[in-house]
Amino acid sequence: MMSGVFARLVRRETAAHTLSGRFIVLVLLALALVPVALYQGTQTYAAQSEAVQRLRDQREAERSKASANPTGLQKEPGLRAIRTLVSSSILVRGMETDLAWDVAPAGIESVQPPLDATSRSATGALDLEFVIRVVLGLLALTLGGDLLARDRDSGTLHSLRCQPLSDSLIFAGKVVGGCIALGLAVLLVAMTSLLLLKLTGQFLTPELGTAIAALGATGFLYMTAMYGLGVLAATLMRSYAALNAAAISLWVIVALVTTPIIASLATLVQPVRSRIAVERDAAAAFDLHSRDLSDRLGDVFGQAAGPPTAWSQADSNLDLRHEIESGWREHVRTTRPSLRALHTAASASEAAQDRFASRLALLTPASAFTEAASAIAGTGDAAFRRWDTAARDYQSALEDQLFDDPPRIRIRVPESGRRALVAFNRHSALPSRDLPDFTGAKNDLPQRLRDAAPFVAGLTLFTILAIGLSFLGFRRSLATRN
Amino acid sequence: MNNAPTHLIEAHALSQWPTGGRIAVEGFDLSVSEGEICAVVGEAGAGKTAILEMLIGVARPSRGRALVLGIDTAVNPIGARRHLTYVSQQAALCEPLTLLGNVAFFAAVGSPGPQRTAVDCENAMRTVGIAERDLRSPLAGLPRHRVIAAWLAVALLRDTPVVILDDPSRGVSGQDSLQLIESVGELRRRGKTVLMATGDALFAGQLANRIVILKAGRKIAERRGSEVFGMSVAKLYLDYAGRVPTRVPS
Repeated sequence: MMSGVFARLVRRETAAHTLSGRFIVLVLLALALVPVALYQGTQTYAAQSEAVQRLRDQREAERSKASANPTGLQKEPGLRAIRTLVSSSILVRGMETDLAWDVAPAGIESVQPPLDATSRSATGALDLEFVIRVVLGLLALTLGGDLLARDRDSGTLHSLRCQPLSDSLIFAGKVVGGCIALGLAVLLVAMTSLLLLKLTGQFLTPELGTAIAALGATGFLYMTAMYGLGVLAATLMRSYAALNAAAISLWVIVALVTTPIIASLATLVQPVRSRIAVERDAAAAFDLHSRDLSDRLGDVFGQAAGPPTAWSQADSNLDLRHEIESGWREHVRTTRPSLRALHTAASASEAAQDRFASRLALLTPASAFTEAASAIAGTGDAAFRRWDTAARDYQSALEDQLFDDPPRIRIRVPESGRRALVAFNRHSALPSRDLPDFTGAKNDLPQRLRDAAPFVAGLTLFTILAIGLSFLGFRRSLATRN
Repeated sequence: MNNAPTHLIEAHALSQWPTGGRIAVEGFDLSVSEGEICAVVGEAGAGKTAILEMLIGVARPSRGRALVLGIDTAVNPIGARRHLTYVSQQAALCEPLTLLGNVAFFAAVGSPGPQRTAVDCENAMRTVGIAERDLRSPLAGLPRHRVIAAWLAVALLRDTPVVILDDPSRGVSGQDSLQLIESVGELRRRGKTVLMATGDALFAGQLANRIVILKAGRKIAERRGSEVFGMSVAKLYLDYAGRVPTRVPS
């Protein structure tokens, strides 16, 4: 019997929500924004795909040339670490808005991050994450406020309480009914997205469909948490006007302001040096070490080889060769770790900033949803960090071959009060095609869902907490009335 | 042995002292037998609604007990409410539903009986005088007596032995008032026990076979059965309502 009564309570609440003007207007607004968001996403994706293809073609052309012998001292097309675009970046913008592709293995200039680490998920771009967070977030918050305030003001809540129904059952019926209405809203947005992508005919893949479903489910969780906050606000506010003002303020704070604030706070508390500055330092250190080494080896060469007319026979001087090799190995032994330490420290501080921002993101449902959404789409911090690690590993692999074991060593030999540049040959240059290929980091859907899991867990906790607190507030407001 | 309670509604020294020290209800006693229509008459603020809400278990008494079919409404409010239909002063219905939808909704959520069909609901609504054109009409703009009648239809469908009405005649006048009296009369014909609170002594006089006069939270007069017959309830009310409650007449 009780399940039938509960079902009626739920149906009535769902009808009350879905037939309200607020629901209709905000859902229509969300549905109107979906095509705009997807259009922007697909345009960016198409342009980036074209750029990626062009870079890949250049890389392949370079690597197929037998005569291409990279020196490792400059950016070369054959040494590009090109990231594979994820199609779900059309749903949630993030790191895919910029591409990073160049690797200069000498360690002078390294991969550039696509965006400042903390702003990757706070770009404010109009994407599906924005539509759900901002528009449907407002819907959830105001419907939650309505759940209690509307019925309290109209007297319907009193009529319900005068029936043989427990307060818990009334509350549960209201919450479940509200959640169904929210589920309907997010389902409409997800279905519209799928339909539009299907109509374009080129983007919809099973993986993208699953990503949309996962995004919708996470969005639903976020909306339920916002709904709970709305109910909680309604239990604390006596007047409907005050409640509306509180709901709007809460929406501005939670859905609009916290994500950029968290990004700024993370930057303040865990500052990160810009990659450009790090690379500048690395280049300066490299220059210093190299100049010092080539001068030192040049002095050795000058003393051993004699006048410039005898330099051409120096290659056959085994003692000299041994001395220069030893000097070079010493240089590699000291310079390489110091350059790597610079990059490792930069990566570590970025990762620390990401971790700090992630922890802060768990403080509000909107920021947790933003993180979860960008993780699901594969455009967030975790995916970036994996790609960054893969690119650095590739860079290290190249450095092992091109920097640490170069075909020739350039030394500066004293001559008539100046220094002349002499190349001391070691072995023949490696062609590009013999260098290792870049294998990108894994960024498939299961991995992305695992990335999103902590934020989804946070959202679940938020939802339970908000609904639980709002139930206590509901009981308290009824007790106050009595 | 028959353990059925003699009185379907009982109040024993029912008191409510809301915060702030003001007395809402003080030592209210009442016993309503099966089939009786009892009216609690008093001006606004006399404590009528407070008494009814304690009787249905929505509000807790500060002292005393309220029983419906022998069930203490403070201890088991939901159990007590299964045996009664309460029509609040606001008589609020659910906005997105039609009148018929509301009758079906409240009849279903309020009673454990078998599922009522739309035809059952329509018949009950016709019985209490709701016109065909109003059956499926939206709530907006419906006159109050139609809304009260819809609640009476809910009472018929739920078939509870007790019906409690809070100021049903408020804002209802003329022909509509007569229709309402006819509708409440239908409950009497079906043997329901009715307790109503009203500020309208004339309305009470048309229906009740027991009158209780309430002033400032205290019962100041009570007339039963044959005492009510033929007397002017309005006069009774005016006689007592103007006095300081020094004693309760026997």
